Amino acid sequence: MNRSISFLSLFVLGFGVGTVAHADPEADRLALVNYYQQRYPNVDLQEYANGLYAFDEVAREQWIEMEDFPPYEIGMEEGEEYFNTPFANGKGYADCFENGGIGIRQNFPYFDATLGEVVTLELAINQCRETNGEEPLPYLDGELVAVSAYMAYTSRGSTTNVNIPTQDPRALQAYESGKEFYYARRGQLNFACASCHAQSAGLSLRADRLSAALGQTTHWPVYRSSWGEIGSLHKRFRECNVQVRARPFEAQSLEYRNLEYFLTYMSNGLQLNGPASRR
Amino acid sequence: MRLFFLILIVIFFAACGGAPDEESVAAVAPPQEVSETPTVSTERSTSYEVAYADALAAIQRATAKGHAWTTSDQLIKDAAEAAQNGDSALAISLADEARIHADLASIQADREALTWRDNVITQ
Repeated sequence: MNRSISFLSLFVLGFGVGTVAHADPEADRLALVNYYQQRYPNVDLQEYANGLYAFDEVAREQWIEMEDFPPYEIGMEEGEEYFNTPFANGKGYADCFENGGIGIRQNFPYFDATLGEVVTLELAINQCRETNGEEPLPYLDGELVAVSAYMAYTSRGSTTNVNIPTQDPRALQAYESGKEFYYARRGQLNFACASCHAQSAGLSLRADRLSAALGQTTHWPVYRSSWGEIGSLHKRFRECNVQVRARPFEAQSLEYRNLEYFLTYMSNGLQLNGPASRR
Repeated sequence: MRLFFLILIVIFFAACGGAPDEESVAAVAPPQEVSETPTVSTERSTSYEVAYADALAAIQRATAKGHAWTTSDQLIKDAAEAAQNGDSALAISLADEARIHADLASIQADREALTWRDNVITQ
């Protein structure tokens, strides 16, 4: 017996044009801030930079103790060494970034009008290497992430300040694509990023409390105990996708860069505190 | 038992994937074209070659929509391994299951393209 189920679906042509016309990143951010403040009136806005520790007092105490001997410190120190080691042509990372690459993490990611794409700090690090005749490095962990961790450290205390040039429809489209990624359900488990980190933020999932969308980008790269090393934000994106049984995208794919663009904009105004440690 | 769960999943997606309410779609952009989504058939394939080719095609469709599932990737691998080991019945079953998962992933992609805004925090 042929058991088949037919579904009717609407394919919307020109969907992107319609959505971009209505995009208002600042309204989105304020709505999210308002949502969490109403839901958790006792949690100070800046506390969201601490992820799940904004909600979980016991885990927070353990985390504060762990910060006495932070597990990311070795990776960060290696990153400083890599950062200050000249390339074969005599130049270095400092030559590629404004202010010699010090204290600039808060300006990433940004929309590059020439490229027509979102540029993350990790992408810019590899662009710097390639411009200077060096091989690009893997994006998930290792040397590149160590350099990113050092650069994040030099930006601690700065305020997330992602700019979306709203006059450029390509930038708005990138933002909207990232927003769609965050709110669209995917994988066999049919979860969106927002299912856990917006609707269920602060609640428990098995033994863990779920962090909020606000502050999810402030503290990267992160030493996660489950990884046993420092890893990148895109490594975490991939892990989250796999957890809901969705095939992950490549680190620094357009999809993940747009997602980072949206998510970092949501954290505008929050202080950077990376690198960090998480369970 | 496995077939029972698959049918349950199909019904779940059918229920979740109902047409979005008119208001939310109109707020974004008016639909300009209506077409039929892939059919999810739970009928058993007659040969491994057909089952494998159909599964690969379904996985490619889901991949193109950016919504592929890891489950279909694993199932198609397992199917190929079963075929190599000479277990044709198992190979067909696994390849069919991979195709079903991939078709469900495509349905999810089509549904989410229209309904993801319903989840956005707007208050």
